[in-house]
Amino acid sequence: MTLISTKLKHYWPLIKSLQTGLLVLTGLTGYVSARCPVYNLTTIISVVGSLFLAVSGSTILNMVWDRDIDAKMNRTKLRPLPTGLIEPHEAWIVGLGFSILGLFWAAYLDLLYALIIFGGLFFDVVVYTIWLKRKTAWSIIWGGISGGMPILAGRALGLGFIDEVGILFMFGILFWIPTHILTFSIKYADDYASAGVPIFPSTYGVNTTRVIISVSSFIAALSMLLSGIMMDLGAGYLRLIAVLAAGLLGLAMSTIFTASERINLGLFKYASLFMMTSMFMVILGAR
Amino acid sequence: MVNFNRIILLLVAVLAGIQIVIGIENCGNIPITYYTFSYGIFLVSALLMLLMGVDIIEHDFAALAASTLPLGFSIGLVAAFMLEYHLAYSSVVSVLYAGLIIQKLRHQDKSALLFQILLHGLTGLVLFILPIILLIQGTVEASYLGISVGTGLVAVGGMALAFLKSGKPILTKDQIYTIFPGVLLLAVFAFSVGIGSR
Repeated sequence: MTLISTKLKHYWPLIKSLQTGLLVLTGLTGYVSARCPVYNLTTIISVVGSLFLAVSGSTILNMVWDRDIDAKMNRTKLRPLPTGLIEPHEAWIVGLGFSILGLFWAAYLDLLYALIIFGGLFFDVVVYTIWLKRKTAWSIIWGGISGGMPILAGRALGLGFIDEVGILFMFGILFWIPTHILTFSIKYADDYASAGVPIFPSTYGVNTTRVIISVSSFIAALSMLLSGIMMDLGAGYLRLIAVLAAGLLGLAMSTIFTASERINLGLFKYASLFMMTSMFMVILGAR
Repeated sequence: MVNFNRIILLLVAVLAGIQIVIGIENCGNIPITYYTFSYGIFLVSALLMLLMGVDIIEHDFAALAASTLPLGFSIGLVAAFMLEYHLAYSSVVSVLYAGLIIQKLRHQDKSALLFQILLHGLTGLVLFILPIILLIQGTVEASYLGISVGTGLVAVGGMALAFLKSGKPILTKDQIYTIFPGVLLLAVFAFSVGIGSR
């Protein structure tokens, strides 16, 4: 029992619970947006379970592959893999096991749903982590695409096919991710430099990065609004998303004109709040 | 920031969010747009204070955004009850607001202050007096005076901040930051009672 609780304690930071939770929420939102009201609890549990396993699995695999980078960065050097709390081969097995289990569960639900989740896994682990992360700052685009897959998968599961609203949802996440990650990379630019990971602030400068953050915030906000309009979301819920989107855009633009560490961090937190609230609004307002 | 104030700010955000989603549904299209705008200022300000600390309200950008709070409510009110004056009134306050922004950007603090006084004076007066007149005329219920109360509370908060910025504070900075979330909550509650009661 003690061994299990110790393992759980060590593996919990490995799955990045907040990030995984948010991605699972997006997948659930995609499903509910197409199938509201939802009465089938088994399907809901299956959507949450399969996404949780697949996203956690890919995050663990990402952590295993990047353990050498994590060991060089102050922010991540105390993670369980660089500190040796978890053996890499064991984490490989767990990561792979979670991913395969998640995919099988997804395939049991629906093949198209499983295929999209597999796409997300592939883009995240192979394209983003293994192939591009150490080569180009633009790797985050692929990370963003994989982040947009759960919501697309959830929507496709609900409808049985991929529609334009699902694509817009995916764009919303894809362009939200730069806001989220780039604000973070500005804060930890020195860390990334010491690990030799190319990021936008070191490749194109902090000011250009702030402009990119603003543009991507604008596209993310617009995508969420458009998808809400196209799925005939209730007017009140649309108004709230619009208000929060305006706040996101205003904050992103203010970092260009009055740059400060504090506003940068505020934008990072606000972007997460924006996405989470938008997801809840879609869930509550779907009809 | 103490946890109590975090909870208060969260309540401000939630209450403003609820008003945007369902609280103003029966107000008519034009007023809804303006009320959304002002409740949105409440909502986003509360979230930013929650995420970055109450002192973010001293930021120039925040001050400019906060100036639009009475602007939205007052245009919405005029659109709801005096539609024939809506265009004229919204034009005047928009010109005043544009003047405020331009003078702020040009760092012309004295003329910016003049625009601010005119803008807040006019919008504040409309928000405070109009509900009283409507009540006397029997157009609205007594609870509509919540708008006047909310306006008074926003004015108190705004003046406390203005004095602080001018270097002649009526309360210390810490005192202002401590009471500000509470004033915001009372204000958004009063506006909700008022606008929702029609």
